[in-house]
Amino acid sequence: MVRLITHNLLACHAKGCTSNNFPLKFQDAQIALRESEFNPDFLRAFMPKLEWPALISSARELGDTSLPEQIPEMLDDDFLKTLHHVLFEIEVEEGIMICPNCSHNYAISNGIPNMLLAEHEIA
Amino acid sequence: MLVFVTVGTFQFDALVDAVLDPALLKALRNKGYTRLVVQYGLYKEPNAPTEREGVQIELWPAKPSLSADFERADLVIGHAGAGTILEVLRLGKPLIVVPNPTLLHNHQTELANALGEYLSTSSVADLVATVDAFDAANLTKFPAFDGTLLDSPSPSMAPAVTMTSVDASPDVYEQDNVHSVYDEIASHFSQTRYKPWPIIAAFLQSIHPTWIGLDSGTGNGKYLPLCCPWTIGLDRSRNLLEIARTAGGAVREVVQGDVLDNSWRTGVFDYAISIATIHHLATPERRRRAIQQLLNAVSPHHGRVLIYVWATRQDEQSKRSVPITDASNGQDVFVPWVSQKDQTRVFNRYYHMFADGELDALVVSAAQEMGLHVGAGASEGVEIVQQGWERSNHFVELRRYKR
Repeated sequence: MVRLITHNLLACHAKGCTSNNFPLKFQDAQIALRESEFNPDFLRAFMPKLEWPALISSARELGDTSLPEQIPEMLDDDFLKTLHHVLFEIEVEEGIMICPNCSHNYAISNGIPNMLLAEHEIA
Repeated sequence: MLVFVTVGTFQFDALVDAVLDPALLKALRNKGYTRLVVQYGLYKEPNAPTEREGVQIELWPAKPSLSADFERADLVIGHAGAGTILEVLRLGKPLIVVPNPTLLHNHQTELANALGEYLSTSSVADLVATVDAFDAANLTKFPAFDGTLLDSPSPSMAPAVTMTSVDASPDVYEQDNVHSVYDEIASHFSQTRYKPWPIIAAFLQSIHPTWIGLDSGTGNGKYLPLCCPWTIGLDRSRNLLEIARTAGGAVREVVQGDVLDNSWRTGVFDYAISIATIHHLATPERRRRAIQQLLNAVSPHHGRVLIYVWATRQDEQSKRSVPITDASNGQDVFVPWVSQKDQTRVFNRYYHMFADGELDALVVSAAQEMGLHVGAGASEGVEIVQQGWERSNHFVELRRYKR
């Protein structure tokens, strides 16, 4: 599965592509929704590692607009539950992720993203 | 016969109460146990006679070392700490584990369940019934620590390991002699190999439950169920990943990628493991690069890394006969894997067996090439937390720091 929490960690790594290489843009994404266990402690600890604007734009590419543009000051349970849903419960099964800088395409099939590069594309 | 009960350094009063209860003592007595030694940790007032139900009772708050107690015990009952489990199983002592349900996230239960065939798991409420039904003969003998992670099922029957040398460009060589082999034989590992490697289980258990991790070269994903909520499995083999994505019966996050790349935001992981992976890379430069990508993947402030590779120095219990010509630089070999369906089909996997000191030297040069100080005391660097050899493998644990 590519869930948005994983997507938020991925960056393009093709040769020479070192800036503006994140976040990868979804195209033709087929998604599935699957409930998972809510873990507020994990979410609070994970917040500082999140790239928020990237998460917001990627969620919108997948049709989810439930999160605010700015991180709210109060991380209450309602907010954390919304965040949990966006990060963990939207699964991209098929589709393409495109680098905003070099336009390299990374395919997702059967829930597994293929980040392999050809030997000559490796930095 | 003697029973030793330990709760480690935690408070686990319910277990102490349960073992001192007449019903349990009676059950133990029925099984022939006449002495009970209890290390009770932070329990406030264990109020028990020195003898009850025909069992002699000895109470200790804490002990500097439990090894002697494990050694003389005929049965150990304990909380499910990784250290306790490993030590007791290695001594070949029968073990009943009672995970402490009050501890965070209950990783203890997961570890005990994962090791289920080697020990008996119980709960405080079921302890009497567990003792009544307990028969050490029903437990699987704890295995020797074998070298190859994805090994053929019966090493003694396997054809011999043979020497090889890398005679093509390394990426092509790895494609032919590592990646395509694993893709071909992957389905076999969905059925047979789900035993966790105990040392690594202990490392994973020490990881904070809110940390995120990378299992670089995850194979069939055997370690993914053993750690924190968010560990991502990376592998080159699509067919192994199809197995890893549901490892342990839950949906796992897996990514197809190369351990020589860093397809992540730099430093985003809290920890990374590389178990039995780097030894499949065909040149020292590529092995060094793989280590650098692990160091790149983890936080420069606190990132932890554990690496295991196969060693030229083989354990005496290893049934493999390994040709060694060059003890100082390691040895390139083919390890055969015989198809169970068709015994005439033999797949040779390439391994670089590491010489003594070779992994450590590689780690040092990898870090220095990145401009990182090796050792404590600089403003930024990599500390070698532990390194060693165990049962046919070299391992090293690293920690990045930045002040």
